[in-house]
Amino acid sequence: MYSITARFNQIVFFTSWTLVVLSLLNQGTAYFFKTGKPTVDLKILSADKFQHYKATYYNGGATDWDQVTFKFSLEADFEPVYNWNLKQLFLYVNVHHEHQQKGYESDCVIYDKIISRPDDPSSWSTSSKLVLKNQRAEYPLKDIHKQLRNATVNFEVWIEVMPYVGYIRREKLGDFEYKMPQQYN
Amino acid sequence: MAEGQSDTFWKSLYIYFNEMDFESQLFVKKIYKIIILTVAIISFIIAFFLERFSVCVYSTIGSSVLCILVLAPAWPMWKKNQPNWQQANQQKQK
Repeated sequence: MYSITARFNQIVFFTSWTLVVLSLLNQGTAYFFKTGKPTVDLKILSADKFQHYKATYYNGGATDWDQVTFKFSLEADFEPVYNWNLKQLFLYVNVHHEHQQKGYESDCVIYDKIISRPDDPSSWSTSSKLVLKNQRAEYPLKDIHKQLRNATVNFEVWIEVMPYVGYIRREKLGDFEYKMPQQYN
Repeated sequence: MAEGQSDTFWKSLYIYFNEMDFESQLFVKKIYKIIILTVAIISFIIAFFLERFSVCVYSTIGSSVLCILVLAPAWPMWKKNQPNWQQANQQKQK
């Protein structure tokens, strides 16, 4: 404490240590309160542009495939997950389908969205509900083996929880089955 | 610095803010911890019930900035208890 730089140094790093301890307490107390599971409801409205595509340029060996673009509506309520340690949620819709005879499995993400939590808790009840109507999927579903006609695909809604302090974890919120059309349209 | 050359303005300002009494050094060493810890604990409890962690972080950082401005430089209030220096030895050059 005998010079100005020594005093400045001690105050700054003592403050940093208290902020580290407070952040760990922040993470620790958040687990005691809200650990519920959000509710979600997904309805597939249509499967558009379901065609047999052919490649027009060399793209690594895939010459033709089935491709479909979905339209869906999604309703979700994330209030059970909101606590003061949460920074944002990453929501994505995953399509899982299996080859009928050979046993291939494939996963494809067709839609994703970032939902950030506002700092002021008085607006949590309005900002925690998500309603998407007639939403077109961002990425199409492609199948190299051309087995999508009359197949049963599984729509999964996942959420990735990103806190301010702590581990990032993924949760599956729901499973929804859908039967693809019999012919191309 | 060579003898006979006076200090520049910035160096003498630095020397002024650098030197602090021994008793006030002990006082500063105790009090910055007390201030920052009480502000951190009270604002954490308040922020817990308001569910906003930013309140806690901003108030802790604000209290530390206040401590730096008041406690780190040697203001005149920290120079009140000077030690009793002995008389300078006048018999250097013989």
